Amino acid sequence: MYINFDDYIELLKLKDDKAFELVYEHTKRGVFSIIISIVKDKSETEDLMQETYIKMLKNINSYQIGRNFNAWLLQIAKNIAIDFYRKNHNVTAYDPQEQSYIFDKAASLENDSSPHEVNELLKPLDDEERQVVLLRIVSNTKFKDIAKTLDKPLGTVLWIYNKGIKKLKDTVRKE
Amino acid sequence: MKTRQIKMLIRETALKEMPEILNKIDLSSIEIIPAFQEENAKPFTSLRRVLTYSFSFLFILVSSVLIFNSLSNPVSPYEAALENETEIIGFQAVSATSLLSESFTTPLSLSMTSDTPSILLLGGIETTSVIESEIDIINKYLNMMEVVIGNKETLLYQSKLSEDDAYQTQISFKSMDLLGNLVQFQLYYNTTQDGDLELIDGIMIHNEITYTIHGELSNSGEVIQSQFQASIDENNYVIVQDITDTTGQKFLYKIYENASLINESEISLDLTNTSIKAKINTRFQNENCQMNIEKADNGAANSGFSVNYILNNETSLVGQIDVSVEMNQVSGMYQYRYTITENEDTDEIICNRQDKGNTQANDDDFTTDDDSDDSNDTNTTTSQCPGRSDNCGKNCYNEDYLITSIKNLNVI
Repeated sequence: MYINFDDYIELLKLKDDKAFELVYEHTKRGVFSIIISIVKDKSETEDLMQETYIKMLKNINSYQIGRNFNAWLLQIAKNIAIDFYRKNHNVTAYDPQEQSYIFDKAASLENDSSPHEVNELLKPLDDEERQVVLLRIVSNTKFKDIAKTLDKPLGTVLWIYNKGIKKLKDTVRKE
Repeated sequence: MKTRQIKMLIRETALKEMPEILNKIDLSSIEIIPAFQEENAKPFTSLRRVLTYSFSFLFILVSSVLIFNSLSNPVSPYEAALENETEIIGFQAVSATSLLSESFTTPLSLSMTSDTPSILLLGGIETTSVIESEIDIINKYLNMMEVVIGNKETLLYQSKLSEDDAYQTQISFKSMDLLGNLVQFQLYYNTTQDGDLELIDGIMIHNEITYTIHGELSNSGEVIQSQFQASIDENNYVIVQDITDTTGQKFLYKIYENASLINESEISLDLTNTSIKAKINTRFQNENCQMNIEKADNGAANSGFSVNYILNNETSLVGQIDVSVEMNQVSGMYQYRYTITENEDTDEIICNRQDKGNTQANDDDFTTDDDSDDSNDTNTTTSQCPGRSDNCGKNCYNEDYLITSIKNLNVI
Protein backbone atom coordinates (compact mmCIF):
# COMPACT_ATOMS: atom_id res chain seq x y z
CA MET A 1 0.00 0.00 0.00
CA TYR A 2 1.36 3.40 -0.95
CA ILE A 3 1.22 6.08 1.68
CA ASN A 4 2.21 9.70 1.48
CA PHE A 5 4.34 10.24 4.56
CA ASP A 6 3.89 13.99 4.27
CA ASP A 7 0.24 13.54 5.30
CA TYR A 8 1.44 12.33 8.71
CA ILE A 9 4.16 14.82 9.51
CA GLU A 10 1.93 17.17 11.48
CA LEU A 11 0.58 14.22 13.47
CA LEU A 12 4.12 13.03 14.17
CA LYS A 13 4.91 16.46 15.54
CA LEU A 14 2.03 15.91 17.96
CA LYS A 15 3.48 12.47 18.83
CA ASP A 16 0.38 10.76 17.57
CA ASP A 17 0.66 7.03 18.31
CA LYS A 18 -1.25 5.85 15.27
CA ALA A 19 0.65 8.07 12.88
CA PHE A 20 3.94 6.89 14.33
CA GLU A 21 2.87 3.26 14.12
CA LEU A 22 1.86 3.66 10.50
CA VAL A 23 5.13 5.37 9.57
CA TYR A 24 7.08 2.76 11.51
CA GLU A 25 5.33 -0.16 9.82
CA HIS A 26 6.03 1.26 6.39
CA THR A 27 9.66 2.12 7.00
CA LYS A 28 11.02 -0.46 9.43
CA ARG A 29 12.26 -2.82 6.72
CA GLY A 30 14.28 -0.09 5.06
CA VAL A 31 15.72 1.12 8.36
CA PHE A 32 16.58 -2.43 9.35
CA SER A 33 18.16 -3.11 5.96
CA ILE A 34 20.40 -0.07 5.94
CA ILE A 35 21.53 -0.72 9.51
CA ILE A 36 22.42 -4.38 9.06
CA SER A 37 24.19 -3.58 5.81
CA ILE A 38 26.62 -1.42 7.79
CA VAL A 39 26.64 -2.96 11.26
CA LYS A 40 26.83 -6.71 11.09
CA ASP A 41 26.50 -7.23 14.80
CA LYS A 42 22.99 -8.56 15.28
CA SER A 43 22.77 -7.59 18.93
CA GLU A 44 23.16 -3.90 18.14
CA THR A 45 20.48 -3.69 15.48
CA GLU A 46 17.61 -3.22 17.85
CA ASP A 47 19.24 -0.30 19.67
CA LEU A 48 20.20 1.37 16.44
CA MET A 49 16.70 1.04 15.05
CA GLN A 50 15.29 2.60 18.19
CA GLU A 51 17.82 5.38 18.00
CA THR A 52 16.86 6.05 14.39
CA TYR A 53 13.17 6.51 15.11
CA ILE A 54 13.83 8.58 18.19
CA LYS A 55 16.17 10.83 16.26
CA MET A 56 13.66 11.09 13.42
CA LEU A 57 10.97 12.23 15.82
CA LYS A 58 13.26 14.63 17.64
CA ASN A 59 14.18 16.27 14.36
CA ILE A 60 10.80 16.07 12.68
CA ASN A 61 10.62 19.87 12.56
CA SER A 62 13.64 19.97 10.34
CA TYR A 63 11.98 17.79 7.73
CA GLN A 64 10.59 19.88 4.88
CA ILE A 65 7.27 18.80 3.45
CA GLY A 66 7.60 17.84 -0.19
CA ARG A 67 10.99 16.28 0.17
CA ASN A 68 11.42 12.53 0.27
CA PHE A 69 10.60 11.39 3.80
CA ASN A 70 11.68 7.79 3.28
CA ALA A 71 15.07 8.82 1.92
CA TRP A 72 15.45 11.30 4.79
CA LEU A 73 14.72 8.60 7.36
CA LEU A 74 17.09 6.17 5.68
CA GLN A 75 19.76 8.83 5.72
CA ILE A 76 19.30 9.20 9.49
CA ALA A 77 19.56 5.42 9.92
CA LYS A 78 22.64 5.30 7.75
CA ASN A 79 24.37 8.07 9.71
CA ILE A 80 23.57 6.41 13.02
CA ALA A 81 24.88 3.07 11.78
CA ILE A 82 28.04 4.64 10.41
CA ASP A 83 28.67 6.49 13.68
CA PHE A 84 28.30 3.24 15.55
CA TYR A 85 30.53 1.40 13.10
CA ARG A 86 33.27 4.01 13.44
CA LYS A 87 33.24 3.64 17.19
CA ASN A 88 33.12 -0.17 17.13
CA HIS A 89 34.57 -1.16 13.78
CA ASN A 90 36.69 -3.91 15.28
CA VAL A 91 33.53 -5.78 16.27
CA THR A 92 32.68 -6.65 12.69
CA ALA A 93 35.98 -7.73 11.21
CA TYR A 94 35.55 -9.61 8.00
CA ASP A 95 36.61 -13.21 7.98
CA PRO A 96 37.33 -14.35 4.44
CA GLN A 97 37.73 -17.91 5.63
CA GLU A 98 34.01 -18.15 6.11
CA GLN A 99 33.11 -16.91 2.70
CA SER A 100 31.77 -20.21 1.51
CA TYR A 101 29.34 -20.39 4.40
CA ILE A 102 26.55 -18.73 2.45
CA PHE A 103 26.61 -21.36 -0.21
CA ASP A 104 26.14 -24.18 2.22
CA LYS A 105 23.26 -22.31 3.74
CA ALA A 106 21.70 -21.46 0.43
CA ALA A 107 21.96 -25.01 -0.77
CA SER A 108 20.50 -26.40 2.38
CA LEU A 109 17.41 -24.22 2.09
CA GLU A 110 16.13 -26.33 -0.69
CA ASN A 111 15.91 -29.23 1.69
CA ASP A 112 15.16 -27.47 4.90
CA SER A 113 13.88 -24.02 5.77
CA SER A 114 16.02 -23.61 8.87
CA PRO A 115 16.77 -19.99 9.78
CA HIS A 116 19.84 -18.20 8.43
CA GLU A 117 21.49 -14.92 9.13
CA VAL A 118 20.97 -12.62 6.22
CA ASN A 119 24.47 -11.20 6.31
CA GLU A 120 25.87 -14.67 5.95
CA LEU A 121 23.74 -15.12 2.85
CA LEU A 122 25.10 -11.91 1.40
CA LYS A 123 28.75 -12.55 2.16
CA PRO A 124 29.79 -12.72 -1.50
CA LEU A 125 28.67 -9.11 -1.91
CA ASP A 126 30.70 -6.06 -1.07
CA ASP A 127 29.28 -3.38 1.23
CA GLU A 128 27.67 -1.33 -1.52
CA GLU A 129 26.06 -4.31 -3.17
CA ARG A 130 24.81 -5.56 0.18
CA GLN A 131 23.18 -2.21 0.94
CA VAL A 132 21.45 -1.94 -2.40
CA VAL A 133 20.31 -5.56 -2.48
CA LEU A 134 18.94 -5.43 1.07
CA LEU A 135 17.11 -2.15 0.54
CA ARG A 136 15.60 -3.35 -2.70
CA ILE A 137 14.70 -6.90 -1.76
CA VAL A 138 13.86 -6.68 1.93
CA SER A 139 12.16 -3.30 2.04
CA ASN A 140 11.21 -2.87 -1.63
CA THR A 141 12.72 0.60 -1.53
CA LYS A 142 12.53 2.47 -4.83
CA PHE A 143 15.79 2.67 -6.71
CA LYS A 144 15.37 6.45 -6.69
CA ASP A 145 15.28 6.47 -2.88
CA ILE A 146 18.24 4.12 -2.66
CA ALA A 147 20.19 6.41 -4.96
CA LYS A 148 19.37 9.40 -2.77
CA THR A 149 20.23 7.58 0.43
CA LEU A 150 23.54 6.28 -0.85
CA ASP A 151 24.26 9.50 -2.72
CA LYS A 152 24.84 7.74 -6.03
CA PRO A 153 23.41 8.20 -9.51
CA LEU A 154 20.35 6.14 -10.33
CA GLY A 155 22.14 4.24 -13.08
CA THR A 156 24.97 3.32 -10.75
CA VAL A 157 22.57 1.96 -8.16
CA LEU A 158 20.85 -0.18 -10.75
CA TRP A 159 24.20 -1.38 -11.96
CA ILE A 160 25.28 -2.31 -8.42
CA TYR A 161 21.99 -4.12 -7.82
CA ASN A 162 22.22 -6.20 -10.97
CA LYS A 163 25.85 -6.99 -10.27
CA GLY A 164 24.95 -8.14 -6.76
CA ILE A 165 22.11 -10.35 -7.94
CA LYS A 166 24.30 -11.86 -10.63
CA LYS A 167 27.02 -12.55 -8.07
CA LEU A 168 24.55 -14.35 -5.81
CA LYS A 169 23.19 -16.38 -8.71
CA ASP A 170 26.66 -17.32 -9.86
CA THR A 171 27.64 -18.33 -6.36
CA VAL A 172 24.61 -20.54 -5.90
CA ARG A 173 25.08 -22.02 -9.37
CA LYS A 174 28.70 -22.94 -8.62
CA GLU A 175 27.59 -24.76 -5.53
CA MET B 1 18.21 -21.83 -7.44
CA LYS B 2 16.32 -19.17 -9.41
CA THR B 3 16.59 -15.45 -8.83
CA ARG B 4 13.15 -15.35 -7.29
CA GLN B 5 14.10 -18.05 -4.81
CA ILE B 6 17.28 -16.23 -3.87
CA LYS B 7 15.36 -13.01 -3.29
CA MET B 8 12.74 -14.84 -1.25
CA LEU B 9 15.42 -16.49 0.84
CA ILE B 10 17.07 -13.16 1.56
CA ARG B 11 13.77 -11.44 2.33
CA GLU B 12 12.50 -14.18 4.63
CA THR B 13 15.80 -14.52 6.43
CA ALA B 14 16.02 -10.79 7.01
CA LEU B 15 12.44 -10.43 8.19
CA LYS B 16 12.85 -13.27 10.66
CA GLU B 17 15.74 -11.44 12.23
CA MET B 18 14.14 -8.01 12.24
CA PRO B 19 13.43 -6.85 15.78
CA GLU B 20 10.11 -5.23 16.65
CA ILE B 21 10.82 -2.02 18.48
CA LEU B 22 7.54 -0.17 18.18
CA ASN B 23 6.51 -0.89 21.74
CA LYS B 24 9.93 0.00 23.06
CA ILE B 25 9.73 3.60 21.98
CA ASP B 26 8.03 5.87 24.42
CA LEU B 27 6.80 8.77 22.37
CA SER B 28 5.92 10.88 25.37
CA SER B 29 9.52 10.88 26.55
CA ILE B 30 10.90 12.21 23.28
CA GLU B 31 11.58 15.90 23.14
CA ILE B 32 10.99 17.23 19.69
CA ILE B 33 13.42 19.97 18.81
CA PRO B 34 11.33 23.08 18.23
CA ALA B 35 11.00 24.65 14.83
CA PHE B 36 13.41 27.39 13.98
CA GLN B 37 12.25 30.66 15.57
CA GLU B 38 12.18 33.75 13.38
CA GLU B 39 13.17 36.03 16.28
CA ASN B 40 16.28 34.03 16.98
CA ALA B 41 17.08 33.93 13.36
CA LYS B 42 17.73 37.59 12.87
CA PRO B 43 21.39 37.73 13.92
CA PHE B 44 22.02 34.51 12.03
CA THR B 45 20.16 35.85 9.01
CA SER B 46 22.39 38.88 8.84
CA LEU B 47 25.43 36.66 9.15
CA ARG B 48 23.97 34.42 6.52
CA ARG B 49 23.42 37.41 4.29
CA VAL B 50 27.04 38.43 4.64
CA LEU B 51 28.16 34.91 3.87
CA THR B 52 25.77 34.70 0.91
CA TYR B 53 27.13 37.91 -0.58
CA SER B 54 30.70 36.79 0.04
CA PHE B 55 30.22 33.44 -1.60
CA SER B 56 28.26 34.96 -4.48
CA PHE B 57 31.09 37.38 -5.13
CA LEU B 58 33.62 34.58 -4.90
CA PHE B 59 31.54 32.41 -7.22
CA ILE B 60 31.26 35.18 -9.82
CA LEU B 61 34.98 35.81 -9.59
CA VAL B 62 35.91 32.15 -10.02
CA SER B 63 33.38 31.71 -12.83
CA SER B 64 34.76 34.74 -14.64
CA VAL B 65 38.31 33.39 -14.39
CA LEU B 66 37.20 29.98 -15.64
CA ILE B 67 35.22 31.46 -18.55
CA PHE B 68 38.15 33.70 -19.48
CA ASN B 69 40.47 30.70 -19.37
CA SER B 70 38.17 28.54 -21.45
CA LEU B 71 37.83 31.28 -24.08
CA SER B 72 41.52 31.96 -24.26
CA ASN B 73 42.47 28.29 -24.17
CA PRO B 74 40.13 26.19 -26.29
CA VAL B 75 41.78 22.86 -25.56
CA SER B 76 39.12 20.29 -24.80
CA PRO B 77 38.87 19.33 -21.13
CA TYR B 78 37.99 15.74 -21.87
CA GLU B 79 40.23 12.87 -22.87
CA ALA B 80 39.40 12.26 -26.50
CA ALA B 81 38.46 8.73 -27.49
CA LEU B 82 39.50 9.51 -31.05
CA GLU B 83 42.91 11.12 -31.03
CA ASN B 84 43.62 12.31 -34.53
CA GLU B 85 42.19 13.07 -37.93
CA THR B 86 42.61 9.52 -39.20
CA GLU B 87 40.66 8.13 -36.27
CA ILE B 88 37.92 10.73 -36.56
CA ILE B 89 37.42 10.22 -40.28
CA GLY B 90 37.78 6.49 -39.91
CA PHE B 91 35.34 6.25 -37.04
CA GLN B 92 32.64 8.14 -38.91
CA ALA B 93 33.07 6.11 -42.05
CA VAL B 94 33.23 2.76 -40.27
CA SER B 95 30.33 3.43 -37.91
CA ALA B 96 28.09 4.72 -40.71
CA THR B 97 28.94 1.75 -42.92
CA SER B 98 28.45 -0.66 -40.08
CA LEU B 99 24.99 0.75 -39.36
CA LEU B 100 24.19 0.56 -43.03
CA SER B 101 25.33 -3.03 -43.37
CA GLU B 102 23.18 -4.03 -40.41
CA SER B 103 20.15 -2.23 -41.80
CA PHE B 104 20.16 -3.44 -45.36
CA THR B 105 21.62 -6.90 -45.55
CA THR B 106 19.74 -10.12 -45.04
CA PRO B 107 19.48 -11.27 -41.46
CA LEU B 108 21.91 -14.09 -40.98
CA SER B 109 21.52 -15.32 -37.49
CA LEU B 110 17.97 -16.55 -37.67
CA SER B 111 16.43 -18.80 -40.24
CA MET B 112 13.25 -16.91 -40.89
CA THR B 113 11.07 -16.09 -43.80
CA SER B 114 11.67 -12.83 -45.57
CA ASP B 115 8.82 -11.05 -43.85
CA THR B 116 9.84 -12.18 -40.39
CA PRO B 117 11.59 -9.57 -38.31
CA SER B 118 15.08 -10.35 -37.12
CA ILE B 119 13.83 -10.39 -33.57
CA LEU B 120 12.47 -13.24 -31.54
CA LEU B 121 10.64 -12.63 -28.29
CA LEU B 122 11.32 -15.61 -26.11
CA GLY B 123 8.52 -17.44 -24.38
CA GLY B 124 5.87 -15.61 -26.37
CA ILE B 125 6.17 -12.53 -24.20
CA GLU B 126 4.58 -9.35 -25.45
CA THR B 127 6.54 -6.17 -25.95
CA THR B 128 5.60 -4.42 -22.76
CA SER B 129 8.21 -1.74 -22.56
CA VAL B 130 9.49 1.02 -24.78
CA ILE B 131 12.87 -0.66 -24.95
CA GLU B 132 11.45 -3.94 -26.14
CA SER B 133 9.34 -2.30 -28.82
CA GLU B 134 12.36 -0.34 -30.04
CA ILE B 135 14.78 -3.25 -29.87
CA ASP B 136 15.10 -3.29 -33.66
CA ILE B 137 16.76 0.15 -33.63
CA ILE B 138 18.80 -0.65 -30.54
CA ASN B 139 20.04 -3.80 -32.22
CA LYS B 140 21.31 -1.81 -35.21
CA TYR B 141 23.39 0.36 -32.89
CA LEU B 142 24.64 -2.60 -30.86
CA ASN B 143 25.83 -4.30 -34.04
CA MET B 144 27.71 -1.12 -34.86
CA MET B 145 29.08 -0.74 -31.33
CA GLU B 146 30.54 -4.22 -31.41
CA VAL B 147 32.93 -2.94 -34.06
CA VAL B 148 33.86 0.55 -32.89
CA ILE B 149 33.99 0.52 -29.06
CA GLY B 150 35.92 -1.50 -26.52
CA ASN B 151 39.58 -1.81 -25.72
CA LYS B 152 41.56 0.76 -27.71
CA GLU B 153 44.41 -1.67 -28.10
CA THR B 154 42.19 -3.67 -30.40
CA LEU B 155 40.94 -0.69 -32.42
CA LEU B 156 43.39 0.35 -35.11
CA TYR B 157 42.88 3.15 -37.63
CA GLN B 158 45.76 3.38 -40.05
CA SER B 159 46.19 5.90 -42.85
CA LYS B 160 48.41 4.89 -45.74
CA LEU B 161 49.08 5.22 -49.44
CA SER B 162 46.18 3.75 -51.32
CA GLU B 163 46.58 0.22 -52.59
CA ASP B 164 43.87 1.02 -55.15
CA ASP B 165 45.22 3.22 -57.94
CA ALA B 166 41.84 4.86 -58.43
CA TYR B 167 42.09 6.56 -55.05
CA GLN B 168 44.66 8.79 -53.39
CA THR B 169 44.18 7.79 -49.79
CA GLN B 170 43.33 4.68 -47.83
CA ILE B 171 42.32 4.30 -44.21
CA SER B 172 42.47 0.77 -42.93
CA PHE B 173 40.45 -0.12 -39.84
CA LYS B 174 40.84 -3.24 -37.75
CA SER B 175 39.03 -4.28 -34.62
CA MET B 176 38.02 -7.38 -32.76
CA ASP B 177 34.43 -8.54 -32.41
CA LEU B 178 32.91 -10.18 -29.36
CA LEU B 179 33.95 -13.61 -30.60
CA GLY B 180 37.57 -12.55 -30.88
CA ASN B 181 37.41 -12.41 -34.68
CA LEU B 182 39.31 -9.83 -36.70
CA VAL B 183 37.02 -7.21 -38.27
CA GLN B 184 38.34 -5.18 -41.19
CA PHE B 185 37.12 -2.15 -43.11
CA GLN B 186 39.00 -0.46 -45.95
CA LEU B 187 38.18 3.13 -46.88
CA TYR B 188 39.53 4.48 -50.18
CA TYR B 189 38.90 8.08 -51.17
CA ASN B 190 39.87 11.05 -53.30
CA THR B 191 39.63 14.67 -52.27
CA THR B 192 38.80 17.68 -54.43
CA GLN B 193 38.66 21.33 -53.48
CA ASP B 194 35.42 23.30 -53.86
CA GLY B 195 35.91 26.77 -52.44
CA ASP B 196 36.33 26.38 -48.70
CA LEU B 197 35.18 22.81 -48.85
CA GLU B 198 37.27 19.77 -49.41
CA LEU B 199 35.03 17.14 -50.95
CA ILE B 200 35.65 13.50 -50.25
CA ASP B 201 34.41 10.74 -52.52
CA GLY B 202 35.26 7.15 -52.06
CA ILE B 203 34.25 3.64 -51.20
CA MET B 204 34.22 1.51 -48.11
CA ILE B 205 34.75 -2.23 -48.39
CA HIS B 206 33.67 -4.57 -45.64
CA ASN B 207 33.12 -8.32 -45.92
CA GLU B 208 33.47 -8.02 -49.71
CA ILE B 209 30.57 -5.56 -49.91
CA THR B 210 31.27 -2.07 -51.26
CA TYR B 211 29.51 1.00 -49.95
CA THR B 212 29.61 4.51 -51.39
CA ILE B 213 31.12 7.19 -49.19
CA HIS B 214 30.70 10.92 -49.64
CA GLY B 215 32.01 13.61 -47.39
CA GLU B 216 32.94 17.22 -46.94
CA LEU B 217 35.87 18.78 -45.16
CA SER B 218 35.66 22.47 -44.33
CA ASN B 219 38.85 24.45 -44.18
CA SER B 220 37.30 27.76 -43.27
CA GLY B 221 39.08 27.73 -39.95
CA GLU B 222 36.09 28.33 -37.73
CA VAL B 223 33.89 25.61 -36.41
CA ILE B 224 32.03 24.01 -38.31
CA GLN B 225 29.68 21.39 -39.45
CA SER B 226 30.84 18.02 -40.45
CA GLN B 227 28.98 15.34 -42.25
CA PHE B 228 29.73 11.95 -43.65
CA GLN B 229 27.37 9.79 -45.67
CA ALA B 230 27.48 6.07 -46.44
CA SER B 231 24.97 4.86 -49.02
CA ILE B 232 23.64 1.71 -50.56
CA ASP B 233 21.48 3.67 -53.02
CA GLU B 234 19.93 7.12 -53.17
CA ASN B 235 17.08 6.21 -50.83
CA ASN B 236 18.94 4.12 -48.27
CA TYR B 237 21.78 5.69 -46.44
CA VAL B 238 23.25 6.73 -43.10
CA ILE B 239 24.48 10.23 -42.32
CA VAL B 240 26.86 10.90 -39.49
CA GLN B 241 27.65 14.42 -38.41
CA ASP B 242 30.50 15.41 -36.13
CA ILE B 243 29.00 17.65 -33.46
CA THR B 244 31.95 17.53 -31.10
CA ASP B 245 32.09 20.44 -28.68
CA THR B 246 34.00 21.34 -25.53
CA THR B 247 32.10 18.75 -23.51
CA GLY B 248 33.11 15.74 -25.55
CA GLN B 249 33.26 13.88 -28.83
CA LYS B 250 29.76 13.55 -30.20
CA PHE B 251 28.26 12.39 -33.45
CA LEU B 252 24.73 12.70 -34.79
CA TYR B 253 23.44 9.70 -36.73
CA LYS B 254 20.49 9.66 -39.11
CA ILE B 255 19.32 6.40 -40.61
CA TYR B 256 17.25 6.66 -43.78
CA GLU B 257 15.34 3.72 -45.17
CA ASN B 258 13.36 4.15 -48.41
CA ALA B 259 14.07 7.89 -48.21
CA SER B 260 12.43 8.13 -44.76
CA LEU B 261 14.26 9.02 -41.59
CA ILE B 262 13.72 6.06 -39.25
CA ASN B 263 15.99 7.12 -36.40
CA GLU B 264 18.09 10.03 -35.26
CA SER B 265 20.50 9.54 -32.38
CA GLU B 266 23.37 11.35 -30.77
CA ILE B 267 26.32 9.19 -29.79
CA SER B 268 29.07 10.46 -27.56
CA LEU B 269 32.30 8.61 -26.94
CA ASP B 270 34.13 8.39 -23.68
CA LEU B 271 37.60 7.06 -23.01
CA THR B 272 38.07 5.38 -19.63
CA ASN B 273 41.53 3.99 -19.08
CA THR B 274 42.04 2.30 -22.44
CA SER B 275 38.43 1.47 -23.12
CA ILE B 276 36.06 3.40 -25.36
CA LYS B 277 32.48 3.52 -24.14
CA ALA B 278 29.49 5.09 -25.84
CA LYS B 279 26.42 6.98 -24.77
CA ILE B 280 23.38 7.11 -27.05
CA ASN B 281 20.76 9.82 -26.68
CA THR B 282 17.64 9.31 -28.73
CA ARG B 283 13.86 9.47 -28.60
CA PHE B 284 11.61 6.44 -28.51
CA GLN B 285 7.87 6.98 -28.69
CA ASN B 286 8.17 10.58 -27.46
CA GLU B 287 10.39 9.56 -24.56
CA ASN B 288 13.98 10.62 -24.23
CA CYS B 289 16.22 7.62 -23.90
CA GLN B 290 19.81 7.56 -22.79
CA MET B 291 21.83 4.37 -23.05
CA ASN B 292 25.30 3.91 -21.63
CA ILE B 293 27.00 1.13 -23.51
CA GLU B 294 30.21 -0.70 -22.80
CA LYS B 295 31.66 -4.00 -23.74
CA ALA B 296 31.57 -6.40 -20.81
CA ASP B 297 35.08 -7.57 -20.31
CA ASN B 298 35.30 -11.15 -19.14
CA GLY B 299 39.02 -11.66 -19.02
CA ALA B 300 40.82 -12.09 -22.33
CA ALA B 301 37.83 -11.93 -24.62
CA ASN B 302 34.87 -9.61 -24.61
CA SER B 303 31.72 -11.60 -24.42
CA GLY B 304 28.89 -9.11 -24.47
CA PHE B 305 27.60 -5.67 -23.69
CA SER B 306 26.34 -4.01 -20.57
CA VAL B 307 23.78 -1.32 -21.23
CA ASN B 308 22.31 1.01 -18.65
CA TYR B 309 19.36 2.98 -19.86
CA ILE B 310 17.18 5.78 -18.58
CA LEU B 311 13.83 6.60 -20.12
CA ASN B 312 12.73 10.08 -19.30
CA ASN B 313 9.30 11.44 -19.90
CA GLU B 314 7.23 12.61 -16.97
CA THR B 315 9.10 10.27 -14.70
CA SER B 316 12.43 8.52 -14.97
CA LEU B 317 12.58 4.82 -15.57
CA VAL B 318 15.86 3.01 -15.41
CA GLY B 319 16.77 -0.41 -16.69
CA GLN B 320 19.58 -2.67 -17.57
CA ILE B 321 20.29 -4.72 -20.65
CA ASP B 322 22.85 -7.50 -20.67
CA VAL B 323 23.69 -8.62 -24.16
CA SER B 324 25.51 -11.83 -24.87
CA VAL B 325 26.50 -13.55 -28.08
CA GLU B 326 25.44 -17.13 -28.57
CA MET B 327 25.17 -19.60 -31.39
CA ASN B 328 21.82 -20.42 -32.91
CA GLN B 329 21.83 -24.20 -32.91
CA VAL B 330 19.51 -24.36 -35.92
CA SER B 331 21.25 -21.93 -38.25
CA GLY B 332 24.74 -22.31 -36.81
CA MET B 333 25.06 -18.53 -36.83
CA TYR B 334 25.69 -16.25 -33.89
CA GLN B 335 22.96 -14.08 -32.43
CA TYR B 336 22.46 -11.59 -29.60
CA ARG B 337 20.56 -12.54 -26.49
CA TYR B 338 19.17 -9.45 -24.75
CA THR B 339 18.31 -9.81 -21.08
CA ILE B 340 16.29 -6.73 -20.20
CA THR B 341 15.66 -5.92 -16.57
CA GLU B 342 13.18 -3.20 -15.80
CA ASN B 343 11.04 -2.76 -12.73
CA GLU B 344 12.13 -6.12 -11.38
CA ASP B 345 10.83 -7.81 -14.54
CA THR B 346 13.25 -9.61 -16.77
CA ASP B 347 12.57 -10.41 -20.40
CA GLU B 348 14.78 -12.05 -22.94
CA ILE B 349 14.87 -11.29 -26.64
CA ILE B 350 16.92 -12.87 -29.39
CA CYS B 351 18.10 -10.52 -32.13
CA ASN B 352 20.00 -10.80 -35.34
CA ARG B 353 23.75 -10.33 -35.18
CA GLN B 354 25.59 -9.34 -38.31
CA ASP B 355 28.54 -11.55 -39.18
CA LYS B 356 31.61 -9.35 -38.73
CA GLY B 357 34.70 -11.44 -39.18
CA ASN B 358 35.65 -15.04 -39.71
CA THR B 359 39.23 -15.41 -38.53
CA GLN B 360 40.52 -15.15 -35.02
CA ALA B 361 42.44 -11.94 -34.31
CA ASN B 362 45.90 -11.99 -32.78
CA ASP B 363 48.24 -9.33 -31.40
CA ASP B 364 50.07 -8.94 -34.70
CA ASP B 365 46.87 -7.72 -36.33
CA PHE B 366 46.99 -4.59 -34.20
CA THR B 367 50.67 -3.86 -34.65
CA THR B 368 51.51 -1.16 -37.17
CA ASP B 369 54.46 -1.36 -39.52
CA ASP B 370 56.23 1.32 -37.47
CA ASP B 371 55.91 -0.58 -34.23
CA SER B 372 58.44 -3.14 -35.31
CA ASP B 373 61.25 -0.80 -36.27
CA ASP B 374 61.10 2.26 -34.05
CA SER B 375 60.19 3.33 -30.59
CA ASN B 376 56.96 5.05 -31.54
CA ASP B 377 54.53 3.82 -28.94
CA THR B 378 51.38 4.91 -30.72
CA ASN B 379 49.31 2.23 -32.29
CA THR B 380 48.16 4.27 -35.24
CA THR B 381 50.51 5.13 -38.04
CA THR B 382 50.00 8.27 -40.05
CA SER B 383 52.92 8.30 -42.43
CA GLN B 384 50.81 10.44 -44.68
CA CYS B 385 48.08 12.79 -43.61
CA PRO B 386 44.68 11.76 -44.88
CA GLY B 387 43.30 13.77 -47.71
CA ARG B 388 46.75 14.72 -48.96
CA SER B 389 48.78 13.14 -51.69
CA ASP B 390 52.04 14.33 -50.15
CA ASN B 391 53.51 13.97 -46.71
CA CYS B 392 52.59 17.09 -44.76
CA GLY B 393 55.79 16.78 -42.83
CA LYS B 394 54.05 17.04 -39.48
CA ASN B 395 53.68 14.38 -36.93
CA CYS B 396 49.95 13.85 -36.61
CA TYR B 397 50.36 13.36 -32.90
CA ASN B 398 51.79 16.82 -32.50
CA GLU B 399 49.40 18.60 -30.18
CA ASP B 400 49.17 21.83 -32.18
CA TYR B 401 48.50 19.92 -35.33
CA LEU B 402 45.85 17.82 -33.65
CA ILE B 403 43.94 20.78 -32.30
CA THR B 404 43.97 22.45 -35.68
CA SER B 405 42.91 19.25 -37.36
CA ILE B 406 39.99 18.66 -35.07
CA LYS B 407 38.83 22.25 -35.29
CA ASN B 408 38.97 22.27 -39.03
CA LEU B 409 37.57 18.85 -39.60
CA ASN B 410 34.35 18.92 -41.55
CA VAL B 411 33.88 15.55 -43.02
CA ILE B 412 30.91 14.62 -45.04
